[in-house]
Amino acid sequence: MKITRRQLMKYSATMAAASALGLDFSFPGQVLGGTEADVDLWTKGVCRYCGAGCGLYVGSKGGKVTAVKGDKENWNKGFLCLKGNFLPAIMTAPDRAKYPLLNKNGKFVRISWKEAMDLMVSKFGDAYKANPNSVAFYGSGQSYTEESYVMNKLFKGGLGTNNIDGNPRLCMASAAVGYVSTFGKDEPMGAYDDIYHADCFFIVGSNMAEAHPVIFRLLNEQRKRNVKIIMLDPRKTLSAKIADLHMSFTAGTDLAILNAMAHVIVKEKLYSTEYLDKHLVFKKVTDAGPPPKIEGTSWDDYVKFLDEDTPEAAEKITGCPKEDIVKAARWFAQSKGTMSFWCMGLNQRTRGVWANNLMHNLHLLTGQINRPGATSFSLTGQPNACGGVRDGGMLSHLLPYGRLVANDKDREEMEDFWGVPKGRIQAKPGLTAMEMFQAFGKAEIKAMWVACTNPGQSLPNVDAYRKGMRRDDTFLVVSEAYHPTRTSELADLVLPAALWVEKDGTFGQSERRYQYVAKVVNPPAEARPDLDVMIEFSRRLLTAVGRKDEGAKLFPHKNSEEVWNEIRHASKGTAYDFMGMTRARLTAAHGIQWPCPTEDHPGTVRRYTAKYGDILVKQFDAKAEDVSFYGAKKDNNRATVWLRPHKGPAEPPDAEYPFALTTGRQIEHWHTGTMTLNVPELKRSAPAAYVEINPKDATKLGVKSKDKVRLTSRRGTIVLEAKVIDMPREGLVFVPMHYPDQLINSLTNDAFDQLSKQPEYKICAVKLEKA
Amino acid sequence: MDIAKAGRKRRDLFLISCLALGLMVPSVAMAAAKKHPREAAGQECTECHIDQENIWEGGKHGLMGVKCVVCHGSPEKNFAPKPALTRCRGCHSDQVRQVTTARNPKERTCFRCHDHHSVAASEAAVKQHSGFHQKGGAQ
Repeated sequence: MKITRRQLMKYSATMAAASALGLDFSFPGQVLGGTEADVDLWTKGVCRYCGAGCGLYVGSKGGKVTAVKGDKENWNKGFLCLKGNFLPAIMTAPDRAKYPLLNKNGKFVRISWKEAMDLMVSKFGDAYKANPNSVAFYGSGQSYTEESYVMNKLFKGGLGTNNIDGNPRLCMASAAVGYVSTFGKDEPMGAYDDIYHADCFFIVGSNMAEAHPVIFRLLNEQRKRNVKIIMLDPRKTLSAKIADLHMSFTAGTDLAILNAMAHVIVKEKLYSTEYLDKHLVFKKVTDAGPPPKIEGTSWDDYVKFLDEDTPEAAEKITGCPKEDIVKAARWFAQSKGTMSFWCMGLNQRTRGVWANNLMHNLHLLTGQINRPGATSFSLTGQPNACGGVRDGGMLSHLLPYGRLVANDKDREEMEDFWGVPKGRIQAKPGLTAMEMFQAFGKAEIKAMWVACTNPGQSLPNVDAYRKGMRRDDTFLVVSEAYHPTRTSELADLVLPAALWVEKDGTFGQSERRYQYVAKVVNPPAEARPDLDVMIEFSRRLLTAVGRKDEGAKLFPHKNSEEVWNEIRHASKGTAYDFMGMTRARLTAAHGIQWPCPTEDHPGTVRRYTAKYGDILVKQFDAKAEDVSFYGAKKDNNRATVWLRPHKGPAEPPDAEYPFALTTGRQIEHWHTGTMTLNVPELKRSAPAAYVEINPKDATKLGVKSKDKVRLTSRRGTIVLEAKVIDMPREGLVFVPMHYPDQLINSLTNDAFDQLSKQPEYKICAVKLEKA
Repeated sequence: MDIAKAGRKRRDLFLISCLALGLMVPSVAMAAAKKHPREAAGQECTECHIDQENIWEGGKHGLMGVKCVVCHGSPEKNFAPKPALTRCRGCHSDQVRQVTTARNPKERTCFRCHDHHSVAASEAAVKQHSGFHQKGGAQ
């Protein structure tokens, strides 16, 4: 390891400052000497953006991030996407938040960290003493695992309230509930490695070319092997350029296509009898509830259930040609290995969980699962939604590592582990994201902390929630690396946050791969790592509410490594087991996939199959020959085929609002653009929102490209430039979601899936008129 | 060796080193931003550069969304008509290192073999420099 004198001095200064706070920061991880003029040192890390989790090296010089390059020893083989290439520019943006700011009558005034912390503790303490459920934390799939864990421990273990949720509720909740309800535990069982083995890819509701470009690159490489690529999307996206079969359909009707494919598989006997007999159970809902009443059922019942879901019937509902449905079903079932991918097109739906179940059904019926190249794989939007929030249990109904707040044994386990009194953790799930902001708008939540996310721009039907975030009788704290954002502008208190490699921590991405991100440079001015602020706040708040001893006992951590070690022990013995993923190993490795129960274990590429390397199969299900869904103990370690009928969106187009609006990403930008719109090159390439309109619709409306068009939904209105292009099918319009001054979420629908509580961003009804 | 001769030799070595550095350093350093030849604010690059766009779109960078700004920067902020090789380093760091340390100064560019916009290697280049990258560069 080569450390320059400058680096040594810089870290000495950092550590001296940190030690005054009782904390320390880790020394950089795996580093290489720099040889280029603009780089002194290359430090191994992970991209800040999406959930693909591309490994990279961060080049630094003079205390600044000056360059990035892909890590060729990681899964991404050294490649980065367009925006990943420009990461250095996000660090030095002119709107970096540098000092704590207090909102005094609409004007932000600089205050000290001591004043900020005193105020926060006082506001949260007073609210908590009046009603423990009147405080809330809204976190992020971009925070490090250690940060999310500390806040989860404070709220559920220290304060005894479950009002802690995160933005993965808006993007991944349906995938998580889909995995749990089908296989017993969350997270994909497969890996990117399956891409090299599959010869059929089934991609639904995912524009990988723009949302996950490096995975798309890997997929494109496989075309040399004569693979088949099927893409289901009502928009002919850039990803569809490589599809052998692009299936377009009326937005929101894809559940009918998935059931029709199952119908073909059953009628043509393309299913695997052996797999059905050994590994599956069938279930249906007999009463929608809440809570829903679930009943076990049989193969015969399932066959009967599918009887009317013919390709012909599906064509009538969806507009997708029946021949394509039959072809897709045959390709899916008859390939040597089929791998499916999906993303927000399926998850951000009022029937998101059902759609996820139907995707898994196809794999289970055909036995296209549990071997290399055969797997169902949900793509993730954020770099640590899987690691910090889903695995770490930082959602209002979860506890760490597969445990549930509603489960007595799980609560007791965590109470013992955290050393808090029995009964401290509430059995009732807390408020989920949308419920939390609704409660905040009604001042039922009095004090809320939002960290590392931008709900003032990203919530659906956002105008309604923005009003609720700016009340005089509530207290909103926002931790942000940038100010102003559309959320920080509404805050009572803004805390300046260290960004990406200005702090260290652990990311867990889509394929269960955990990676350590080392600190490379100092944060600007008075910005601090969120973990440091969270630990200080936790200690002080518990003291303020009369639990002084617990403050020191629950939060003795001096750095992120101490938190990580506690996390490893929280996962020990669970189906997630991280015990082998020590900080030292993660620092040296290019990611490790869990489960990884011992320090000599290489990590697990494929779960639920002993034959392909999951050693937990034998631990949880000693009699299993090979495959065991050991998270589904109640079902004798079998996966579930769900009988889920087609149901459309909450707000389909009608005579008054005749178009379906869908939103999504552009390759240049990420989420609400706080980072990427600060990069001149990316802003140049994609400067503003627009509305894509199908040429036939444009002709009917008398609209041509660059005309101004007004879009109106039942919730809001916006004027955008038209882009007439043969991408959305007739009746569908598309708007990118990234722009803070063009809030497309003023129009989107906040109706949500009753199982996952994830809102239906992807479809709402709008009307269009020339502006 | 007399002192004058030794001095001349040292001077020659110094000049050769400067020349070598002069050839190498700029090739890996960031190219200085230049002014775009005409006002382009509010315009898409393709409004004027459609031929280049067509070639780009047919190549790998086109399919993978490696857009104009990756190599050429923003016309308003940091426009680079002839991009520095650091622009390629994000995804092709080994290849950039191989090219910048090639023995023949004329080979210290990617575009001797690769088309500027399709980035495909020409048939002639493949024939002449077969295995350049596989062999780790310098030949």
